[in-house]
Amino acid sequence: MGEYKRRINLRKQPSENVSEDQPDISQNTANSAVSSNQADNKVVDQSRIANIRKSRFDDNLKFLQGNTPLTNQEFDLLGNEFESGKISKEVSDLMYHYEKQKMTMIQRQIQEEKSLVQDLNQKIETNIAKFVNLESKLREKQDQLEDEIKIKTRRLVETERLAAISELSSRLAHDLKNPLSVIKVTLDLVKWASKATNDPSFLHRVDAVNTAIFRMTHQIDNVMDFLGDVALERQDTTAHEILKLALNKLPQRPGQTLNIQPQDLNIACDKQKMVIIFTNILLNSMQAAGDKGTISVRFQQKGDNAVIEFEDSGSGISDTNLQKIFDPLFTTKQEGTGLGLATCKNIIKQHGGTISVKNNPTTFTVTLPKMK
Amino acid sequence: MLRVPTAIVIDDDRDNVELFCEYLEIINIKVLGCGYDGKEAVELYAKHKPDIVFLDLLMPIYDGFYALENIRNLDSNAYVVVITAVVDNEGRIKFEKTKPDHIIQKPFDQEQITDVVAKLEQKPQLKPT
Repeated sequence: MGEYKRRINLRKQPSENVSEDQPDISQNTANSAVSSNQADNKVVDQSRIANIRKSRFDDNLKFLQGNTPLTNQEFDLLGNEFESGKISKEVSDLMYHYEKQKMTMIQRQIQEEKSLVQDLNQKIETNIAKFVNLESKLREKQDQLEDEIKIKTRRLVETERLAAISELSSRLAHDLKNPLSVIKVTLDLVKWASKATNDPSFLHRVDAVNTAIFRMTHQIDNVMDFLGDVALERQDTTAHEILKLALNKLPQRPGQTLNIQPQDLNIACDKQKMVIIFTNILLNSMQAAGDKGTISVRFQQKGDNAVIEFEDSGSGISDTNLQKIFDPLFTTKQEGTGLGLATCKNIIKQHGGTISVKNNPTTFTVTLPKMK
Repeated sequence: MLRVPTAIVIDDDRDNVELFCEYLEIINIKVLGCGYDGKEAVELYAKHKPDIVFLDLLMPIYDGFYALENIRNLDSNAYVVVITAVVDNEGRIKFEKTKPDHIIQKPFDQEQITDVVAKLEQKPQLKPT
């Protein structure tokens, strides 16, 4: 301290210089730090600040050590200032500003890093969400495929079972129809050979056997037609042609009146399958119309559709039965299989057509679209 | 056609054959021969050249499809009426190639038989007697 006082003694009015110079340094340093920070946003070079401070201090010292001597009064003033802590306060202020600046920059950097982390977190979250979404989609797809396999397996099993049933019934049908044919031929031969063709009771018995043969045949056919899921074999035919083939299969009812529209209609369809439809609907109509009933068959072209109507004079179908009439195995008849109309519906569906029924008078309407 | 139409009958059920022959004679058709499988059908056709072949489909070893094909090979214009209990999917497919003139399902009515006999007369190129 004694050394310092002596050297300071050389300068005149040092108090002004010291008191003004010191804050100047701090301001300049702060300003340069801020501007450099603002310019390139980098951490201020600590050693650079230290150098500046050191060189200023040295300048001051040189100045103080100059030739101008301080008066005792001046020296005392300077000494008092130093001792009163003014200088150390200014130094600590400088340090405080500097540290504050540094803190601000660190905080800014932390803020930046924080926002980066936030960005990153957001991206990670987005990606996780994407993965979760993908996973759920994969799981969905897997479930869907598993369901598909189940359905296909079930269908395959059903098809195989149906094929087995179909083969069995085909054989059964063959084995039943051959002896039925023998009975039928024999019955015809007996009828022709008999001298009692005018005897009503004999004819009645022959009819009874014929009816029994027809019933058996029709039931076998019903089952076979229902099971036979054969691809359509489309050909050009006419309503009259199909009707004729159908009527060949049906027993004659002499008391009934059958009105067939004289004008024929060309229909492109699977002829054999259409015969099945006509036979089933006509048989129902005949049974419903009763011994003295009337059945009318009409057909016409409506746009691209062939529309066939079967009308009978029967008492109609109850509302509850109307709902179920096309269901497989639904029947109101003791000798019915409940497969006739179900088969009709299947075949018509295969043709892309529709079948419907209404009362007053009972009318079945079959609509067949034009075949390509 | 003034003369009586001629026919051969092929069915593996012997009762059926016997009765059907009797049946045909009554409705005025002359039966030239009877067979019990597809091979005999072809031999009988070659031998008799009948107007009509009444042919069953399902027979052991040589079935109706064999007969139909080979008879048509002998005479593409042969008039073949298949009388069968069942035409299954397989049958439908096989008929694509060689179609019989008519198919009658067992059991049949007399009208169905007389009908196909009547249609024989409409068939062009009747064979000379």
